[in-house]
Amino acid sequence: MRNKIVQIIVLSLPLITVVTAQPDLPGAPSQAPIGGLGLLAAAGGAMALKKLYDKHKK
Amino acid sequence: MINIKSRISPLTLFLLKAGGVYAAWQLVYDFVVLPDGRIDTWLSITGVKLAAAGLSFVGWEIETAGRFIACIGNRGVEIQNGCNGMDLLGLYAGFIIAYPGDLKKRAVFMAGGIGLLFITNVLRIAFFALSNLYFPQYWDPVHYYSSYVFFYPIVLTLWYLWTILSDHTDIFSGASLSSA
Repeated sequence: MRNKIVQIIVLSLPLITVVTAQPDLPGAPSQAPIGGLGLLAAAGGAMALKKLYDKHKK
Repeated sequence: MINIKSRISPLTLFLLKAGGVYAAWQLVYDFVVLPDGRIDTWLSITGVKLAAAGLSFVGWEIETAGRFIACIGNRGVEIQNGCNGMDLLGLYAGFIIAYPGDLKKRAVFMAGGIGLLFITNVLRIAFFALSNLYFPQYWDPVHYYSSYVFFYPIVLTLWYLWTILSDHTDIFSGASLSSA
């Protein structure tokens, strides 16, 4: 039994090189999320508040 | 009956409405629209198809597969949920809803703006496909600054126009406020 296990291990070892020599995965496609929405919201909020404040002062 | 609008200044009302609209939008998006997926998928795939059709029409060789678009033989771009403009459309509409104005004008301005932003996103997708063809090494800055070039001037201009055209003679008079 022990001999069989040793044989399996010895025969399996060379296969490691086959497993580790697989080609790389193709490059993932680029992704393009829309950034800076917080800045846009802040700019819009500031603009609205200024407009409303200016109208209040008139 | 107490008229709450006449007791709250439009400044406060704007902040309350904006906060409420964005909170409601996030809840609806996270718990209804996103799990359902149909609107996001439609926005992404339609954007890709229109961008591909436009680029093919003017002579580029384009391949698409679902949310994926590429100039043939080059690295592609995948339009995922965060890339299809849905967040931006919600943000744009939220401002138009929160800022006081006439209801009919608001509906027209909101629909027109959403249409314009959708077309702008199609142009942005087409630009990404071409940028991967002609200057792929600059993908990161191209992608990062694209929103600032394509969307923000349009959104800020539309918001500014809405603050002018919303047609309020006396914005701090509660009686003059339209319902939102």
